[in-house]
Amino acid sequence: MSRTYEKTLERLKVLVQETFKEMPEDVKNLKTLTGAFGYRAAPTILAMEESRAVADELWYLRELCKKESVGLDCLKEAAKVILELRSLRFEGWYKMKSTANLLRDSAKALAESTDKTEYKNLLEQLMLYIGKQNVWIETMVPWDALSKAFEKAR
Amino acid sequence: MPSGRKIVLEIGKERAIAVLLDDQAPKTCDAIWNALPYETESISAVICQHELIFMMPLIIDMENPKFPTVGDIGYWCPRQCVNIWYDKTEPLGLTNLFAKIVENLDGFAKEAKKVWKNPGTRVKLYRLE
Repeated sequence: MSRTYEKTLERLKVLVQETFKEMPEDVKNLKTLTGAFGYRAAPTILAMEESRAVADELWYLRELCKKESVGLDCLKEAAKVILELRSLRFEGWYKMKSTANLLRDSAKALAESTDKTEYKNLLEQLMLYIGKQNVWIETMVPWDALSKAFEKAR
Repeated sequence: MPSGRKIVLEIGKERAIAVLLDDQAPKTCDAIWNALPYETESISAVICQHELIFMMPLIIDMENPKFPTVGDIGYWCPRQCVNIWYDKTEPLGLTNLFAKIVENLDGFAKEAKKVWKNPGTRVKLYRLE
C-alpha cells in the first residue's frame, strides 16, 4: 500500500463520517452561487446531477472490478479519465474546489492501488462521499415550487 | 403477514413498524439491522411516485432483487439508498427488498408525502426489541 493511497483512504473515511453528519462546506456554498443572469437554480441542479453522475460512474467501476476480464490497469485508466473530467466541472462550474481536489487525489491514489481489493476499498469510500454529497445537494432543490413553475412556464 | 425481526421508522409525528424479510434478502437485512439505530435526511423520489429515499453508509451487493409494491422497503445498491414505497407507484427498478411495513403505513405515507415540499426531513430507524 503506497503512502499516497493510505493517506487518501484515511482522508476519505473521515470525510464520509463527517458528511453523513453534516452538509459539507462545498455544498453550503452552492446556496449563494449564481449562474446565467444571476439565477441560482442552474448551478445547484447541475451540481446535483454532476454528483449523481459521478456516483453512478463509481458504481460501474465497482461492478467492472468484479470481472476477471477487466484488469487493474484498465480500471485505473477509467477512473483517471472520469475523475479528471468531473473535477474540472466541480471546480470550474460549481466552485466546489474541495470536491475537485478530492476527485483528483482519489484518481492518483487509485492509480497506486496494488490490487483490485485496494482499488475497490478506496472507490467505495469515494462512492459513499459523493453519494451523500448528492443527497445534500438534492435537499436544496425546491422540487415542488420548481415543478409548478415549470408547468406554468410551458 | 411476514414474521421476523422488526424495525421502527419514525418520520414527523408518525411511527411505522416494518418486518425484515430475512428469507428474501438475509445479507441486506443483517447489514441494515447492524447499522441501527440510524437517523438521517430524507428526500423524495422525483421520477417514481410516492417513494421516500435516504442514504446509509453501507455497501451491499445485489441480493434477490425484485420490483417493489406498496409498503415495501428496499436497498438500491448503485446508490446505497434505502427506498420506501409508501403508496401506489410504478416500480422502475429492481432492488433488494428487505422489509415490509406492517403497521401504520397510512400514517407514514401522510408524513412521507410532505418530504416532496420539505426535502431533508429527518427519518429515524431503530430496532423494535
